[in-house]
Amino acid sequence: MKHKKQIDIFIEGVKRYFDHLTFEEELLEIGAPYLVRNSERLGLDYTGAISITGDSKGYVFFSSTSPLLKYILLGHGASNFSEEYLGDIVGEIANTISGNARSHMGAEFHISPPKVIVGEINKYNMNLNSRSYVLPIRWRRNSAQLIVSLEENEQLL
Amino acid sequence: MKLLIVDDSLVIRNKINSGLLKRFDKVLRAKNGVEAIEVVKLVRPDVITMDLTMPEMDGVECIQEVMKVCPSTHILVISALADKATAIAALSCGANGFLCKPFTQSQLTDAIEKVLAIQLSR
Repeated sequence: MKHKKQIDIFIEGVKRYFDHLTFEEELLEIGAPYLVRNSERLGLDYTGAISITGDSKGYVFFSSTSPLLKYILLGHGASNFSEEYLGDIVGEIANTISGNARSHMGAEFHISPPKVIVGEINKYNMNLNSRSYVLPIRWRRNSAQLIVSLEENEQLL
Repeated sequence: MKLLIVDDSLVIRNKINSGLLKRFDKVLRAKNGVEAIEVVKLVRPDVITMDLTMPEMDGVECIQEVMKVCPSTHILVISALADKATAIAALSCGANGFLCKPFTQSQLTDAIEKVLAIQLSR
């Protein structure tokens, strides 16, 4: 139950983020969440990583293909699609979704400033023996993922 | 009037800049609290938009420092930390308004007008 509540909080955060982009109405698809082993290949083109401390420990990642990030940059009025901007926006999305989650997760849900990873994320301080859940996202025919790797997950597997 | 935008995201600094450029005579930018304090000492901005989660020095600590250096500055916090406790902590340190990320340009304009109304009424 706690696990489902946590997933719902992050689904709400993803919806909220995409709702605020100044685009014509575009269907956001969030697929069914699924579990993956951290030892499997994880991560798309760019990933924003937020370290979580406090009552929960672990990471929240927003990982995306480059084309989807370019649309999001356009939604923010940016037309520079350089690596610097793609990395910046993927970090900001991870930060926004994680920060919004705090109002439901409680004041002891502490988030770090974002770090940006290009390519696979598996070597990013993750416990390779543990598992994470993935929320698959599709928007404007491109893919992204929210990957939640928090300690509580293990108790519910 | 002078505006200082403090946010570690380049995209968000640009977005705030484009939304508020016409409202201010001069717009300056800083990517963390340490840079912001340096700018405040030199320029004494009338209004600051302040992110909270930043490297080097976070937003709450930065607001406390700004209040020591330039207490007449008005501060609008713009943060993804949407919980009530964070908003209260920022406001009790000296911030004058709070806007939650993600935000639209019209929400940004409305929030800054409220902060300016406080400033002009003093």
